[in-house]
Amino acid sequence: MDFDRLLFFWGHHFVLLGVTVSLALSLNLINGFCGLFSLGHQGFWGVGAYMTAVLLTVLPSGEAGLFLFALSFPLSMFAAALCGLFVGVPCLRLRGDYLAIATLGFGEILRNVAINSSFLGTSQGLSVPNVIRTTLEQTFGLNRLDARRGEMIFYMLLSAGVAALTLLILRNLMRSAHGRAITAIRDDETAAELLGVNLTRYKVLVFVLGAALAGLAGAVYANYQRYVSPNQFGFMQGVTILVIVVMGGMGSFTGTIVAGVLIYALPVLLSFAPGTWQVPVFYDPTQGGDGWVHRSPKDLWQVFFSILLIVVVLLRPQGIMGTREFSLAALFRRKPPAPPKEAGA
Amino acid sequence: MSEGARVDRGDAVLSARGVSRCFGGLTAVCDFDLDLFAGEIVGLIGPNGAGKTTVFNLLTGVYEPTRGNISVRGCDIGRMKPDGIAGLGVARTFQNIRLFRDMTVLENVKVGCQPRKRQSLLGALVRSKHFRAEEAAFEREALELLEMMGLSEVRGVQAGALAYGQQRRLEIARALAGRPKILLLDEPAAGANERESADLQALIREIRARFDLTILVIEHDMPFVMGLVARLLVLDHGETIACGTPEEVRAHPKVIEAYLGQEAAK
Amino acid sequence: MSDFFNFLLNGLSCGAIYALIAVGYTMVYGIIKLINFAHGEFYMFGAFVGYAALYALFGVHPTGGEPGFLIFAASLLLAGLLTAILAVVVERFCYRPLRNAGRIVALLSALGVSLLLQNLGQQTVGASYRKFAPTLTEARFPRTEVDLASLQPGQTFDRTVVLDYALRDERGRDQQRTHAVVLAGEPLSAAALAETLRLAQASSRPAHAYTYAAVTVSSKQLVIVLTLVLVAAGLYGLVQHTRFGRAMRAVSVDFRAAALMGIDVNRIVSGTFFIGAFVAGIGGFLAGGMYYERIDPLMGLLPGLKAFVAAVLGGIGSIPGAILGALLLGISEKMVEAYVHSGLRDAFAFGILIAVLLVRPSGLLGRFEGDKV
Repeated sequence: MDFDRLLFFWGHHFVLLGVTVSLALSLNLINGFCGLFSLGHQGFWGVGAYMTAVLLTVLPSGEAGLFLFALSFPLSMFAAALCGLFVGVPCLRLRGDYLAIATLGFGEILRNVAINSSFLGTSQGLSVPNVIRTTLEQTFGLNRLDARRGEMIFYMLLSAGVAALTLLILRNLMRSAHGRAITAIRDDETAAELLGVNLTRYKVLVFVLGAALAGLAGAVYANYQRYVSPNQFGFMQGVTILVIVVMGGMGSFTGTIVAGVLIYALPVLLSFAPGTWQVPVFYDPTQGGDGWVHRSPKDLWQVFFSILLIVVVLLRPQGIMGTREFSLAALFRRKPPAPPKEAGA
Repeated sequence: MSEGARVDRGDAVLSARGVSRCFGGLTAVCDFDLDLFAGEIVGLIGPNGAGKTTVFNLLTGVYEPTRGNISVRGCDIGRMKPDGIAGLGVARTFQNIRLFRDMTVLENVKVGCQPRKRQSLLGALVRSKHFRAEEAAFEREALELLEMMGLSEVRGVQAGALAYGQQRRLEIARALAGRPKILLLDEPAAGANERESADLQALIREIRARFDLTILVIEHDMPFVMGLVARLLVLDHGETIACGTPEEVRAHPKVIEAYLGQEAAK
Repeated sequence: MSDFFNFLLNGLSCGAIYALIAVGYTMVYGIIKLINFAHGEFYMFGAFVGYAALYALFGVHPTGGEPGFLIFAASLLLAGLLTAILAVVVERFCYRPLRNAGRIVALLSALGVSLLLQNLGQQTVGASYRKFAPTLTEARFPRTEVDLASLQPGQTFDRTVVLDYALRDERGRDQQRTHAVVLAGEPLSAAALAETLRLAQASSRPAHAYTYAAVTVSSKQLVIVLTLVLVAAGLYGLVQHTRFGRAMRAVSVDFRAAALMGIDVNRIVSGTFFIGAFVAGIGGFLAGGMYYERIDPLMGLLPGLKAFVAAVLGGIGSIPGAILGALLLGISEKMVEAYVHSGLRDAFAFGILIAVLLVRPSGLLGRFEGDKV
């Protein structure tokens, strides 16, 4: 009983945390490592999630359910990657803030298309069948509770696995000559090109790979939540991911993970604050009562979060970690580290 | 004074024919002709604003020529992008140093290996045997280059933190990492004292011999360039006003008027 | 055909609202090359200040009663002024320290300020809509008065006749009401006539019956367009004919050179933020409070983005460009809504943005400054 409460509560947050971290990692490839500035990552995520939803709802599942479920991951990646190509190619001509605005516009267009398409369920969204639970119940003959437990554990493993896979892919990429080309573009585009870096190729690669990985996270999200709607992939969701990347450090994997965990976990922890912790924040006589508006710490998290973003940008524009990686060894070393022999990303 | 005044003439490794570049109404470079033959060191001199760096930008694809043709090792580069030209074996340094300031010295040199990389993307992701071998080779060669440039000690330091002379040498190392056939040096001796520029002269000769290079060098430091090159081109207001051996150029009346005259007047 | 002209007028007033936001965007971008994401929130802030001002200072409940011209104008001024002060404070503490840190870093700070204002709004005044109307007597023009005394049972009109009257609420304020007397082409029944006369009798101020032209413009639309005209004229005079305007133009051409010439750049930037936010603030009050009749903390998000699209369309950095772009955007949005698909309005606007950025980044009237190599 107690175990189940722990499992379902923390398991749920664990799965969503995995999705958030995966998204932040793939956005860090575009914004942090390559120095392009995308504000449309939620769009790629949404394309992946919608691809999964469409695949699992439009096609008759039944027997083929598990097969379609497995297929949803590569297909979502592919759909999002295609979108990445579609955005990446025209956006090559744009730099900095102009690119940011164009990608933002792209994300909003995608959302608008979903809202107006009855095939995509308009603003109501689409429900996704629960393939894993059905399989556990029917194929393995588990009872309802066990199937729910099994489903949660499955998604915890899946989400962690996808986050780990994303990290592995990006880390390996950045520790190669291709990765150095990408970082070189961020640091000095012209110099990089004169040293033989094909700008078009790498910028498109970065957009396509970033989008594909966001699409993968989208597939996990859609399958787990069993519901997709345009509002789940709005500008605000994109901003949250962006803030994780900025706070963690544009170009640091460990920074992204640490910031992702903190920014995801803090509001969850704040929700444990006693209900009596109510802070009067505003006087509004039109709202009846004594006119004072009270809020709990959890409500105020969003405000705190925005202030945190401003403060981080003002004090440490390169993010908490900068481009460096966090390692326990470095923490316990007493002298400043000697020039690292292995100069990884 | 200049060693091997005229090297064995094969086909030119780089040739420019009637190259002009206009910016709006201004002609920055006009009817520029150049043949670089394998193994030679050629100087490009001229007063400030003569169009020397513009020539470099044309040869490396930063600008497209308004008129004229440029070919590198038999390949017309008229519409090629800088990365393609780098792939043909042309590398350069910059007048105003353009290092990747936030990367370490070693990483900077490794970025220079770009034109030679054969690793596939997939190979990099799965860390294939070929990938690991290539990365190890890049690392080894980068360290060798740093050793040669006297930068081994600072290989882990951020490039932006280096002293000015070290930054200039690092730029050369980075350019060499791509194993170019043609090296364009834009004022390598800028800011160097007499001893340093003598060392640099020796270094440039050494790398030419060791890497089988053809070098085109822009320089303001006259003794430096006269002692280094087999022949010289002199630009003024975008036009080539003289070319030949250092002695010929020094004696050329137009050059004295346009360039050395100014120096003498100082 | 008359539908078309009504859409055009709607589009024009919608565009005028975008224009009031877009001029601030374009001025700020012109001078410090910052996309001030928080600008849409200045617009929202202006609407709430106006709401609070009407309520707290002048005792007019925003959901009922007419404040009268003076009180309305004073609230408008207060909305603009407080918004402008907020903008100057934001610039001083969140943007100025980052002026040399690169455009993307400043953009992030602007994003942070935008989020902060939205979230603060949601946690203080609440996330839900507030009705904010009517604040001005609404009327549509052109109209022809129909003499109430001359109405006869069985009479027909080729246009609908509408009665304007008012009722007094519990606070003792007039609330404007309308009542359709008779539809076009239908005979006036005795019962309808009796009801009309009863309402006219009960009206707390003289009631009037009108027939309206096929194409009409409302007083609210007139106020918004008129405000835009005044703002445009004022900005033109300011930029072209004052010391401040000259300094502003100098700073926008070359920041450093202007500083070297003895121009107090910080003062110019503060002034630019002040003016831009002042205009956005009154825009928020007029649009949210008067035109759309409802306000909420997220009301600035979409108009802010649209105004940015308008500024890019017109050529970012150019004030006439921003106004032209905003009017064009407003009109074409309404046309898409009316004749293509009502849901595709926003997608259309962002499509314009991407198309302009790709095809002609300098916009209609602007000069594009590419990055120096």
